[in-house]
Amino acid sequence: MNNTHDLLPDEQLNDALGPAAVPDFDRWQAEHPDAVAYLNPVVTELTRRKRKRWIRMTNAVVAATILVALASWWIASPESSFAETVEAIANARSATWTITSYERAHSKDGKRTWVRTSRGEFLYRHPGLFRLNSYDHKGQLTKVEIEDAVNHKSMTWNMLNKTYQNATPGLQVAFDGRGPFGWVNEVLSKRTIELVGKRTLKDGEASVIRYRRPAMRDPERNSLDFWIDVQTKRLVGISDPGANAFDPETLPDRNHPAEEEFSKMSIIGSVNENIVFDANVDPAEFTLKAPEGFKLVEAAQPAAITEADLVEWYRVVAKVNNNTFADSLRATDTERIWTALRTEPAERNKLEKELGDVWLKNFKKGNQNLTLGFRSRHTEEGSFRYVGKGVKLGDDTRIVCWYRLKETDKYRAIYGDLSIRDVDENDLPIAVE
Amino acid sequence: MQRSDQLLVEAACNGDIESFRELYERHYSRIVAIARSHLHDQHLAEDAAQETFAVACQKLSTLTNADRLPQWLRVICRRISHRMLRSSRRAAPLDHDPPQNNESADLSEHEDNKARLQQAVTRLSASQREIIYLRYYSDQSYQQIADLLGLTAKAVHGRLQRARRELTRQMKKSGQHNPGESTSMNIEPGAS
Repeated sequence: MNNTHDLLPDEQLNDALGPAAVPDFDRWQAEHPDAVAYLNPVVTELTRRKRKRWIRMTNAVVAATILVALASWWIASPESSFAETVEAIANARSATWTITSYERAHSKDGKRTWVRTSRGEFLYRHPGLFRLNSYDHKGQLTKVEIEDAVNHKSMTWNMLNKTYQNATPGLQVAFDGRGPFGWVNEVLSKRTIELVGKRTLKDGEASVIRYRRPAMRDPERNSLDFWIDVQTKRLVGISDPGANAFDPETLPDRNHPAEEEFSKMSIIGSVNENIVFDANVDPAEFTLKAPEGFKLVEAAQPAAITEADLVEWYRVVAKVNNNTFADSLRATDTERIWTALRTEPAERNKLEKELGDVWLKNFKKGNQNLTLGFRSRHTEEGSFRYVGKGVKLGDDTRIVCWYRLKETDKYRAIYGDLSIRDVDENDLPIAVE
Repeated sequence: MQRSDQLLVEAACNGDIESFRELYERHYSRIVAIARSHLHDQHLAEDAAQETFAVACQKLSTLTNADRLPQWLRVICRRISHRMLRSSRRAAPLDHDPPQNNESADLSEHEDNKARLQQAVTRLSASQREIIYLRYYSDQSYQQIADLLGLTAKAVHGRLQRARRELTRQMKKSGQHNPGESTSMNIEPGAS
């Protein structure tokens, strides 16, 4: 029997096995006071010292070999310098870098391929100004995108037909105030990574640190390589995917002649490089003013976001996140949500599928980030506040967020039980100003 | 942002009980799923899970690789479950007793099917039961199950399909399942 439709439906198995057990930690703790007593820094230290002594005594030769290898490795190892790498990223007040995208073009008759590249130049100024100058495969400047991520404003200039648009989809959809490479710090600090070797750059050498992204459709291409300069310990490049799956220098068709016409194009990979932190970046580069002579083209406006849309999103996020609302108004900052949305649709469980469906529904309506969109388009400026971290789904005593709808005086709040109520600002948990 | 297991383990070892609470709540349902797959009884499974966390709490400082916490908990849980099985020396009970009379034919048939399916699950191999419980009881994703069992997501999918085929075969044999019939509506969200 190979047909999935002949198998027992999921619902029947869910019903037979019943609902998952609900943890009651307070009760467990009351019943196991002796166990909890072991959570003690003194106990931990004694245990670890004992373990270290045991390793030294019984593996003296191996330990010595390891120490020798580590000593010679440490000189070029970036692991001792992650603190410096992370610090440089976190403290950067500006940055410039380039991005080169590689695509494989197929001829009209499908018999030949060649590599096509396009380039972009990024500029960044703290706390949230971004600019991307995009060049096509002929080296022609085709588009300029400027974004003020803090104030959720952006503008795109089309350099070929001399037009511009306001409020187009942003460069930094998941902006969270950590700068353009804050997510790299997250990976270096908290995820499983490995040192895979060295890379020669045009002006030095870099250690290559690899991270494997979970749940990618093609596991062969799930790597991200971070290049960290061995001398300065700074992040200088990122290859997506990593060198195990993509190396622009060795692409077999990299020198094939390009043709005017092609039947299809496929993405090979991209490289962010020439990263310079605290570069000299002129604030005038981020002016949200179109060049002289450019004509305004109205961008399609995303669909209105209702309170019901927001409640639906909060509900499904909380259900996926162990019946707890997301930590912040950017739900994808919460690891459980981030992982769920990056799991392949076929691999998602029931709740993750529902989350993905709700997200996709809003994405198609032009609302990629529902809370940000609701805040910027439907509430009085500065009135929206999210306080959902730690609030349990169903808790009618805790507020998840509050706001004033545009052109109204009254505050409204969404509670943990997803009810929406008018509230007096004096009853809000934090002062509104 | 949710903290990783590694950070929580480190904090718990330094006396932060709230960090252990987070670990407990994060992993509880999947550990109960593992226990239940061996013990076939919800109450015993929860006892085993709670004992698992008691042992884990005592031994937490010996865990050298906190990234392998779920696998470590699973090993502890299996040992405790097997010990409980040996000491109990009784056949695995059904979670549900079939109804005693036929006053309501529809209700009886549903409950009967449910009981037979629960019985069929107990006849799967231990590894198949674990996957079935992790997926349908604890609602774990393929990747989460793969990480816990040290498999690839693809392997999990394959094993799950084989387990479901076996269950379907057993149910058909007992005449209680009609493939292709479904009473659930498959509503497609997103149409706008």
